[in-house]
Amino acid sequence: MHSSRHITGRFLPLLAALAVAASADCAAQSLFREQELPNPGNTPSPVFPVPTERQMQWFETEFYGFSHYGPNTFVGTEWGNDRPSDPTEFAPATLPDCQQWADAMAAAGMRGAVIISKHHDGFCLWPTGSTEFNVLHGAGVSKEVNILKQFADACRANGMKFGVYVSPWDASSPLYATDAYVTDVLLKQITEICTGYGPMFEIWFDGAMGGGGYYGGSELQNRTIDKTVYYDWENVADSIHKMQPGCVVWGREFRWCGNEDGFSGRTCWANFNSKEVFIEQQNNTGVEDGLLFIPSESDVRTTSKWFWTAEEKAKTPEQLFKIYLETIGRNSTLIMNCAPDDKGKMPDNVVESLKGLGKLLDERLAKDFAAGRHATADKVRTPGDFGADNVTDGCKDTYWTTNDGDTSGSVTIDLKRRRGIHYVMLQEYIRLGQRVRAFDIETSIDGRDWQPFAEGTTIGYKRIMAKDDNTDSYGEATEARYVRVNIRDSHTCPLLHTISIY
Amino acid sequence: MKMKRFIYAAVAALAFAAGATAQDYECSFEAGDYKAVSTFDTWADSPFRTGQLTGQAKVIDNPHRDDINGTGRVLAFHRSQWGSHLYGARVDLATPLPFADTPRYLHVMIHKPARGKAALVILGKRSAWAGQSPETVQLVSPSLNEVEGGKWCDAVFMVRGNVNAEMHSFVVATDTERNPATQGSYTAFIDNLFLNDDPTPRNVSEPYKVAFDTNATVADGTTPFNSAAFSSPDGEGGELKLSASQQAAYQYIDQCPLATAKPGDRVTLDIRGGGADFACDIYADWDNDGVFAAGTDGELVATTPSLVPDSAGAGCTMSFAVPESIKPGNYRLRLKAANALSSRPDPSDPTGVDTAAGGRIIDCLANVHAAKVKVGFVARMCEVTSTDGGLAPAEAEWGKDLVFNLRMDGDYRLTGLEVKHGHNLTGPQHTNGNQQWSVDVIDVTEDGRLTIPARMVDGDVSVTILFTNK
Repeated sequence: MHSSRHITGRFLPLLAALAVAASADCAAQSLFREQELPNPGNTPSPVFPVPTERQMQWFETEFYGFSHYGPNTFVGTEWGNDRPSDPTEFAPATLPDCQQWADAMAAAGMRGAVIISKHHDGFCLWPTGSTEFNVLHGAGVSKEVNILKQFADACRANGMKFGVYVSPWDASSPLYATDAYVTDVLLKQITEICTGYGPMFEIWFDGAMGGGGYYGGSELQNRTIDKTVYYDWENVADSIHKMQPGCVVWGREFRWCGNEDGFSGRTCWANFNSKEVFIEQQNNTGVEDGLLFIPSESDVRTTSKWFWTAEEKAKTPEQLFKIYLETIGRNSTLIMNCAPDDKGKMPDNVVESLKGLGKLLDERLAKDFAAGRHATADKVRTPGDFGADNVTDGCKDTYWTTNDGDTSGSVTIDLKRRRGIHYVMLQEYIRLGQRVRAFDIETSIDGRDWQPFAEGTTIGYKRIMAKDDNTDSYGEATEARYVRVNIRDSHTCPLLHTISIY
Repeated sequence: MKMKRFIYAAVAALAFAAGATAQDYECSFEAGDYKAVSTFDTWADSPFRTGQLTGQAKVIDNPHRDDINGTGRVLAFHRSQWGSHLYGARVDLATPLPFADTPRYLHVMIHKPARGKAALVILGKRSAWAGQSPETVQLVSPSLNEVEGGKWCDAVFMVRGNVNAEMHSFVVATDTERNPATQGSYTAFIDNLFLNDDPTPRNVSEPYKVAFDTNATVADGTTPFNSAAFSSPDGEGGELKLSASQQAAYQYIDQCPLATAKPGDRVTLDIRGGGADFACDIYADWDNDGVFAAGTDGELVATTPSLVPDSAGAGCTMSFAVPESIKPGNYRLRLKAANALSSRPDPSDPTGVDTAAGGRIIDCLANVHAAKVKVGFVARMCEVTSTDGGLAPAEAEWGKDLVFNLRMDGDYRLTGLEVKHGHNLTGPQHTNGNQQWSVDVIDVTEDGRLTIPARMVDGDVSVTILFTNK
């Protein structure tokens, strides 16, 4: 046994150091006063990052159209950067029938649409003051085309939201790849777009970063830029929001989903980091510990190309429905391209497919068996209004949740009688952050014996689960009176605002 | 699947690079090179923006003066639990700084109670836009390194932007906790902001130290053993060969991991002696903190209890288990080898050998992986599917070829596949000198059935389809 003197001798420096540190920490704690934040409703605290109001409005739009129409429609190419700029390539014989486009999209269930105003070739489909390469110098009835006005009017006639695509890469501009391009051309175009055609819900900036083009000259040359810094998106977005406070900006407030085939990741976080937007490798799944709320948007073509060509076949309604399940049904929005032809009309095959999709959505995802039904939960947050019935009350602002620190819980819905179930749809209350990491769904006929229906990882804004998460076909229905959703893992308490059963 | 054994000769120790220092900005809260301090939250509904609460930050005498940070004044920040994950201390610059379009690094000394990452928010504006608010968010950047708790630690943030934009304020969020309301408030201290071109944290000792000059050599003709071959349930791993003519006392073999295993697997090391007695201790840095923890509760994972008699050259077999809880990643292993001529160094000390008597230290890597790895594609102007025509594969079996189908759209031509593979693909490429991922480009110009070779399925895989228009 050591003598006390020996202990003191050995440990005095350590004790002294600890005392100094403790003293410093005590002094530090007294520097500031503790603050309390009243929470009379016992509302769960946010799990960051959280969406802004305009991001929520955008997410709730869910499904919208995309229309590629321009000189490429008449030449039969997709990019058009490798031809000298000739405005007479845009040669409509009749005005584009934007109302027909919007009607076809509305028939599919789309709630908005985004129009191409300028693609990589640089041709502007409205009478802009930023360049001569615009509709005022095209052929046919080009001078009468102002695609922004015509399409915005058509959308609004159908109660649809309106958005615009502008290609940052401009193969016609002599200024491209210089500083002046961003201020004197691109921002000028954005300003005209944002101030001339009413409210917009989305502005889309293609991720292409330059390449071959004529750039106003007579020879093909290559100009590339560093897309992470060249366009100065932070300040361009600030300018956009001053003109259009309700408009989400591509790359800052939503991200590309990583493919053009129409599927989001089965695991898909809305969380992301700004540098990942340009690296693109995590786009399909998101980044769970990402600092920013930059959710996914899936872009897909109803045919095989962005611009129309005569030989194009349209995807079938079943194929489009599968894409719907694998995008909107996986925490992503869906922008679906429907390219008009050189007569300014949406081709019949595309119109029919869109109509067919709308019919399938009505048949398969409109009648919610769970609406108004009684729900119970094994855990409910108290005090406060967070009971299980909130998931079937038809209100997106009420939700079921558990107490802080409870990272799991189950909600059971009694459908009152046996139903043939194809899909179970879950929605988190993501205004307070995306949380769920793992869940599974079970069904029962008698409320005692349970069978597995499906399991998944993330939910987010919306997750639609088919039996075994198999979206290949509509398949056979699962007979059940009871459906139970088990949240297995979550960042603190999970929040579900809606469970729908179809 | 048995992976082919590969053999590595000794290589020189990895030198941890020290970067150049082109200082553009420095603030130590003493010289008055800041205009004001306050707090800022990017969250629009923050009680610190709505006025419900008032942020607290002030410059005070340094309460934690030590060898790492002996400055007189520091910025104290009340990290309230009611702010968001990006609520931080705000320093308004005396003069706006222009952005550079190449990476620069802001170093910030932080002293906070618990370890974790930090974040930097830069507020500013476009230089020429007079009407624009200087509080426009220009950048949100997570720290490149974790900040240790309970001591001064240099957090490093990459800073880059358009050259026509300028920085007006730095906001240092001292943690990025997703649910801060449940974590409690604390006081953090911030000091010595320093903008330069060097990503290396200041005041960080070199990782994986040895207790001798890393350039030391051993005498000719001595080597504790001839070879050490790794194996595991994955199959054969790498083989380390030592030659009596290779004189470096310290070597770091980093071309690729010598050991591969899943969490819970047992890794075996088959050592072939050189005809003399030898001893070997093996360490593993399972928490990837750059230090092999010493002592009886340290990171020693296997040891020969005494000198292994090896006059017949039979060698011995050693093994260790990879903890079940380990996350996928490349982890540093250390073999500390002594021969009969040296006194046996203490196995609980991972840094010392008797180099004068032929002792050596060899560092290498262990690839700890899941049975299945995540696969992602960046696919524009093409369609990627599985070989049966279904959705593109989202996972693959580790260590096996990844095969998929690719069809380019009509107007585009495939030029190659850029494959990023390994671990923590969104994080830094090196952690304490341990390479976590690599990027390879496969030249391929024909659509159809394509293969990512098994050696690139050594962790998660991200494939970017490279193309040009026809």
